[in-house]
Amino acid sequence: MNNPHLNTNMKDKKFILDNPHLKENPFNVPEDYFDTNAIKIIAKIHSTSTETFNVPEDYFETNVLKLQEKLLSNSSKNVFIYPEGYFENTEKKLFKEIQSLKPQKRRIIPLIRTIGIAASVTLFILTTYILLQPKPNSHSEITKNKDCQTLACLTKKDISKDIEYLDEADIEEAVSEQDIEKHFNSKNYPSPSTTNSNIVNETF
Amino acid sequence: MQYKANSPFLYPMTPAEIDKKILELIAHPDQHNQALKLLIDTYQKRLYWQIRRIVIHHDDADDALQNTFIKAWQGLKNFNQNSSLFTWLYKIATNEALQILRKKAQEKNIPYDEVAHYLSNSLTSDPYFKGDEIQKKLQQAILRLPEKQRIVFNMRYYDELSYEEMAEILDTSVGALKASYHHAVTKIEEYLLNQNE
Repeated sequence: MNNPHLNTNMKDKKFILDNPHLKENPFNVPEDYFDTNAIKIIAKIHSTSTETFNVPEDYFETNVLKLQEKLLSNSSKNVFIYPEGYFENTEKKLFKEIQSLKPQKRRIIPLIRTIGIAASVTLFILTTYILLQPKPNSHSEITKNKDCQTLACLTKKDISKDIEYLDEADIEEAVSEQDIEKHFNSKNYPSPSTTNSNIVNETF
Repeated sequence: MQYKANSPFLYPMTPAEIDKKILELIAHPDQHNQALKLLIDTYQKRLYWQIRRIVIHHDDADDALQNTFIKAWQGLKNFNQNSSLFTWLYKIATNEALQILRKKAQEKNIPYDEVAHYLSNSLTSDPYFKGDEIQKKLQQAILRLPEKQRIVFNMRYYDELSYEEMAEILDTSVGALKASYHHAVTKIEEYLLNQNE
């Protein structure tokens, strides 16, 4: 079915909705609908009030005071009594007590001190251990390790033990001439002149 | 149209001034009826047409409009003045209209998705529908749209609301609304062209 409104300028899809005729309101309302609607809605709002039961104005606000009065007038019916002015003074008393409480001092052990003590103990144990270790014979150690094959490497004990088996030639062979000369030229050794005179004096 | 009462020159009040006046009147219990009348007189037509385009039939629109004002009145004391009164009322009206459609689905014992189809068929029997054939086709095309696209199209095409206003009413982003409107227009144009062939 061809519609005259569509045929005029709406062959192109893009312009269909631009037609002012389409934008016209196709719906209708009963006569005087909007004029009478306000009254109708106001009446309905009043009739559908959610509060079916009403209370006098300021009822809840004044009710608390009324109840307080009633309770005070009937206070003699209370089986429990309290000292006069108890509630008035309780607040002040509690406040004073709280203020008088001194904050407890907490013992603080510094971490550095603990670590220091632990380190000292460890050091002491280590030192004791090292000192109590049996001392190795340093000389024999040297002689064991060194393979010099000379008299210098022998201990006094070895020498005193073996000296009787050594003859003069062995000693001369073991000690170089240079060492002997050096020994005799040293300051600790007395000069031959003084020695000889002493010998002479002793002889005569 | 509302005029400023205390002014020596009568000039119409702006929507913001009307909103302010309504809220001022509500603050005084003895002026509640005056406030209610001003509220209804100011907004009933715009809200009615928004509802009517969703529910189609006048009787349903009338019910939804009454419910809208009842709910608005009950919540007006707690109205958050961050948005305009109209935006807030429009939101209530849209929800009430959709509520009527849900009730209709229950009454007719049909799924909610088929309510629009039912309304489309009953359009001609409505005594308060005066549109010609092509206007009826347009309404049928709108009723074929998904619910959100239908609302967005009506708001934009008939009420000419801005996307920002629509976003506030429908709690959606402007981008999503533009997309919805574009899809709606495409579908309607296709439907109308096919019907005309």
